Amino acid sequence: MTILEARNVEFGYCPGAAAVLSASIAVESGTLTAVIGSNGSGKSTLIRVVAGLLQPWSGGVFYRGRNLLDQKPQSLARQLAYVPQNASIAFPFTALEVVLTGRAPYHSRFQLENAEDQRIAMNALDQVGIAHLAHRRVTELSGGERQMVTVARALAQQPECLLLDEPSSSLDLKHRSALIRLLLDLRERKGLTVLMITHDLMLLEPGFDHVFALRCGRIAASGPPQQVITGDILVEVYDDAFIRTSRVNRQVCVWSQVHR
Amino acid sequence: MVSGAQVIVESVGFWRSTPVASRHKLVRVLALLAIFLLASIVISLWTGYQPITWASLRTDEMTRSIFFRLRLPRMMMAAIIGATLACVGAALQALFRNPLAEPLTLGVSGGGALGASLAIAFGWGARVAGMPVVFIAAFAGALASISIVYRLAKAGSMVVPGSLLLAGIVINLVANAGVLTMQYTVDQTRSLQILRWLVGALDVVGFSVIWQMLVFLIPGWVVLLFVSRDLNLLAVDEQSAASLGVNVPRVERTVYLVSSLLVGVTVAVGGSIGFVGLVVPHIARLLFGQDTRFALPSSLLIGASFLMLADALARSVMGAGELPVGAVTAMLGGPFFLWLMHRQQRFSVLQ
Repeated sequence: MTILEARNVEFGYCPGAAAVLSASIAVESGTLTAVIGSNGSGKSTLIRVVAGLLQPWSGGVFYRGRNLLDQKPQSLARQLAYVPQNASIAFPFTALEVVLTGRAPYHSRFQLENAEDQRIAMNALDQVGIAHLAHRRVTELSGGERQMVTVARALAQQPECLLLDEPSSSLDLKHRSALIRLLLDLRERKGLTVLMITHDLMLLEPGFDHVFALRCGRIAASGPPQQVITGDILVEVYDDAFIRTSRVNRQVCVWSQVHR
Repeated sequence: MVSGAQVIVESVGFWRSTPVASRHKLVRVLALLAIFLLASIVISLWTGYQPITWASLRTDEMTRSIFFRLRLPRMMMAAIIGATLACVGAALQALFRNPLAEPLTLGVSGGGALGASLAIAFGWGARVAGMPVVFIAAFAGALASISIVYRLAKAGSMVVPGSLLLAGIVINLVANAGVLTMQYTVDQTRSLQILRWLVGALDVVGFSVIWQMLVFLIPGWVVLLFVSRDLNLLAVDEQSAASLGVNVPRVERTVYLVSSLLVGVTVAVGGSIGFVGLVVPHIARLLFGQDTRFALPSSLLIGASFLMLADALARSVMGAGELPVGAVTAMLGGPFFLWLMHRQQRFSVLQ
């Protein structure tokens, strides 16, 4: 079943200069979908339109068949969570306080978080492996740790569908894989649906069900990773003739040759 | 480095020991602040050139007059202006995710003062409908300057923290120059009236102005408390807040409007009293944690106490004369601002 769908969405930050052009994507329930593409290809813009943060010029985004515009933001936030690319936090909130904000959609405006919310928040921190940082100030954490805090905040929202904008950009090798293992595990146990922007082309296979490749704001390729993560398609998507791929034991290797 | 503020924080660490927001904690915080507020009221009422005792208050007509016509209204004026500036400061800091934001640094006070002095210069305050007209003029000035500052600081979808403060401070300087120009060109009585706006003063006789102010201020406070949850989510991160169901543009508009109204009204009466809106929210957060749902109501109460005590100081240091309260808050708040800026460099807020 298609849980999240964007139909012919167009959006730009200045009039006349569209960053996303007539893009259509459909995400099946309980699957892991990746969005790939070079810098500035419109990936982040597309995911923000899909998350309902930007209103498309034309076209529409549908969650469970209903237009996002027709849904109450608070009830939508219980089903759809979004992890921004780089959340810079100016005030010294503790990691736990940040994660607890993920519980806001479950409360009215004058309700404070209860013990159950705290348990959920701690559990989310534990899932991403940073429970020991719960009472540390986020302003004192490293970039990667802060990124994990934002992911934990989205998990505390207990969404059906999780949208992530390059969640692994400042994570080390171990934590990149750990994050994908966590997402696979959540799909297994909770039926979580994931739409994730990533540059880690080597981690998509096996595990991810579908890949959308963006080029200059348009969907240039779409299909299972085995079909999209290939030399021919990537050369075109990234506009780089030096990209090579090779497959060893279900694992794909992608690189762009430095020495020509 | 162990600073004085940290020592205070450690010693009241008990109040922060609950790691998350709870109703219990909120009640304790507000109870503690209410006691502090009462203490400040007593200190404020009993401070002054003319000593007041229970006995003289009951018997002496002159003392009663001083107490009820001058000291009590002045105490109330300090309390409501302090409370207002502090909670607007807390709201603006959260909205812009900028610990250095406050009515003065964002140019809101300056714009309000310019609006108010225009109204005075044209004599609107004395004629048409009295004080409320000056309030509206100050509100319009404050709103105009916050929208200019916001437009200038906005680059694409984000607000550049450095530009925000620079634009605010420049707007404030220009507005002050405007007020000064008017002060030189209008006649003597109005000139004296306008001079007040430049530093801030709280002298007031009787309660009528206070009631008129409260008509505007109380709804403003209520609205800010109403959006404090949304402001807390915004203080963490704007994009996350939007994805958590906060209607960011609506909250922004609401806070601009309400802050301008609140600051406009206080500036129209007390002038641009700086640094209350900066210092108090920081004290609140140091004591009770970052959560805006606590920081905003705490700032309201601490702000009231803070300005009452600052005014008590202003009235007592010079014997028979008195300092303008704006000078006292600036002397206390200026160094604090610099210390804060120094500390913030580490987090590169001023990018």
